[in-house]
Amino acid sequence: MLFKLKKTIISLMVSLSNPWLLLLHTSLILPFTIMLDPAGNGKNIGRSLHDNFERGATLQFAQELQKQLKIYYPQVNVIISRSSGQKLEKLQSASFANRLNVDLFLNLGFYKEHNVKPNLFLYQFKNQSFFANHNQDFLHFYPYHQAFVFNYDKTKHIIGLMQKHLQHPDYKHYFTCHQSLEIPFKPLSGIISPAIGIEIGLKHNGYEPYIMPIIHSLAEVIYEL
Amino acid sequence: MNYKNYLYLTVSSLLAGMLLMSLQKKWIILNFKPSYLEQTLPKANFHKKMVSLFCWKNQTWSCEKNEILWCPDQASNLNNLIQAWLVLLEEEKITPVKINLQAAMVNANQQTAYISFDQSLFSKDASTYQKLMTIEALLKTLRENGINIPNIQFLTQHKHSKDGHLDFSNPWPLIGFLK
Repeated sequence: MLFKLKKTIISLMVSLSNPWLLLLHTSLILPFTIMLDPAGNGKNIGRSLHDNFERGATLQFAQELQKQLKIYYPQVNVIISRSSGQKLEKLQSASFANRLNVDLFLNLGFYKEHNVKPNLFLYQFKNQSFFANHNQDFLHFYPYHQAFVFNYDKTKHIIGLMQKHLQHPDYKHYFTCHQSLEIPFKPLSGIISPAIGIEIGLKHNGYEPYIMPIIHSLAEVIYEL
Repeated sequence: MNYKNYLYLTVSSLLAGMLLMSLQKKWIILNFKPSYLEQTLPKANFHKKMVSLFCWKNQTWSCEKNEILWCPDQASNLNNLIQAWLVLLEEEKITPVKINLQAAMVNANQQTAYISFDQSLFSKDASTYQKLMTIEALLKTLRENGINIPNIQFLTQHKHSKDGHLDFSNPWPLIGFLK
């Protein structure tokens, strides 16, 4: 008992001295952690949209989602993978998500929509290694591009719940949510936790119409998991 | 030696000189079939084959028939088929600029095909879905025309293709990722 108390005090002291460990600590206390990963970064502007670039729009969208998620689901811890102007290296977001052991990773991407009705796509990571026979008899290393196999079924279940909600007839007037796809989607590469890519076709009216549908689509996911 | 012989000698020397000069200046080109060419050319019979080329346009598959040369060599068929497919993409304005095929090769055990383009197939502002469907169109074209190499490695300038959304660091299955 004394040992456990000592351990908690030490871990708290270490956490307070290091913001990364503080995040890790809070993720252990709170029951559900979502990481939002807006596309683009300080080095990469992303795709050009109607009057701005992807990196700025996705960051604003992530911040708005974070705000709304905290209102609707106060028990959920929401982390954004980057700040404004921050430069990210390859697999940095994946490494961050793996270290924090997040419950859900959401990559957010925008592109300029040319169709009359905007589209919304949901992606799950899958690559050629999925088709290979995995020898599970021996202890062995998994390369980063096979990290998705650990939570493949769980991710499939979550994406199914989100898709079911986003395909609700109430939203059909605003956008078309397509059948989720399992593809080698690079922003989700190397992530062990359930990771989903959300790609939205933006029109001139911006991202506002998508905030509440996404917030509501996560309700079942949060309460079920 | 009489004058007649001198005349013959002069004329023949002049003709020989003209001939040698023509050869040197490449006004006359002599083309002899080299012996190694006979060995390297496959003895197989080339024949024309009607192939189906696919592209994704207006949210649907579009198919066009085209006639190309076909032979038992998979790499050669792959080359001809992709060249025809790239022409279709250019005609349909799916690719922003003209893309050229640099090489199409098959490994020794016929399990992986390496396809190298001179530049990326995608425009930088395209959606992931649009990019995916371009790749799926190529895989569908290969499948429908009897290319049975299970893995396809996409390259650009003979290196792994780099894209911010689709991962080409590993080969793609010929069956694709669409359900």
